[in-house]
Amino acid sequence: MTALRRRLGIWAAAAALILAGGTLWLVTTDAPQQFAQRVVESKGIGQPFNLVDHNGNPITEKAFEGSPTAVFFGFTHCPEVCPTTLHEMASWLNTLGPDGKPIKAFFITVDPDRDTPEIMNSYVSNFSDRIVGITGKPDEIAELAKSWHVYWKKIPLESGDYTMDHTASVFLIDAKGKFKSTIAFRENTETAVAKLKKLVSH
Amino acid sequence: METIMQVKFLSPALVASLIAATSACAHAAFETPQASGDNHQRAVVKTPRGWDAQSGPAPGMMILAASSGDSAGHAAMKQPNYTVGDLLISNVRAGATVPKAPVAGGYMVIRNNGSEPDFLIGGQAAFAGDVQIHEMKMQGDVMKMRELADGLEIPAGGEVVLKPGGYHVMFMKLTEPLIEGENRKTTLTFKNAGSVQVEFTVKSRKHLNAHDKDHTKHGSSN
Repeated sequence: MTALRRRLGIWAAAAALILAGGTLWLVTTDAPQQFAQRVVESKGIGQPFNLVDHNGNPITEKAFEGSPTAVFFGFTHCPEVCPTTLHEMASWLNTLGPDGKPIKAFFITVDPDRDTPEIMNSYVSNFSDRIVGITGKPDEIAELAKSWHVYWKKIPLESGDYTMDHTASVFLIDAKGKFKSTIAFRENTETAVAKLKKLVSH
Repeated sequence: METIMQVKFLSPALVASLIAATSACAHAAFETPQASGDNHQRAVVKTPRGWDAQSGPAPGMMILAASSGDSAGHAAMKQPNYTVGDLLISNVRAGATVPKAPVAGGYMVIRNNGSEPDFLIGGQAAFAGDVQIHEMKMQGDVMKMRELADGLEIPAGGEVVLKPGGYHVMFMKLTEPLIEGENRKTTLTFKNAGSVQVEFTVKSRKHLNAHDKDHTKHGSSN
């Protein structure tokens, strides 16, 4: 009898552990982006960095200073969000014409293992000569993404390949380096252009 | 002796629960539906388990025949439809890519007129090293992508829409860019109906999305 009771106790403990694990998973999977949004809204973003632009030249946070800036984190093995967003970024800049001249636009890869400066160059240059691709050492990219509160995660595929989950918004920073707003994935073009205009006028 | 018995009882149960708990944490985020003995018994399309339990159905996950007229719509009329077994495939299109882009998305509408569900499990294309079936989903401002390793279910008597922002054929390791206006042959493979060769009409992003806007909500907090 004692053995049975002990056994029941063990199973109860096992069930509790499974429940706890499940709850932890639910909490952690939903947390990053909500956390990111809260932090982005309340605090500044970004930090100093030493990375490489798509021409293979060193690039630091100084590239973001003194100009209104649009920053998008993505990767080239991305079938929809990244090409759509880069295409739209190019089209916003075209629409703005001379008004948008001060704006600097950056595409930072969250997949530096595959996105070498050469690959970034051949990819980004197809969309616009106004967008600068940024890559670099994986740990430095990770630090930078973290400082921007960007969520990204490598997702293995059965073929042995992988894809990436990532924050798909474009971050807008004013000329003083202050975070102003984001443009959401596939946001209405007029709204996006209006946000950029406002950014330039600050 | 009792201690040994206790250990014997403890370890399998605890180890099992620990493995269950830790693997749930470690793998849940990219789990896809696993082969479940008899897929025919599944009545509805399963969303990959990796998606957050709190979020609603994936955008355009499944649209019943009656409400899908718009997306199948007039664009489909210009393009051929394909049949294989009880399946009718229409509006087969792919997104144009820039040179050197490594991947592309393919979209279509698949109607199952049969009495058994079928599954789109993959394909083959001369222009891509790998053809997979994926689901994309926006979770807040985060884009998430999952491989449907078990295939995409086309329920009996139902219709599934593959479109930007949702289910898509993922062409990987592209050997050439997809150029707007051109067609690209691909063999699609279904679990029950077998294989069928279709032609993806390559469209610009703007035209790809034109018929989907009504079905897709774009979150913007600004």
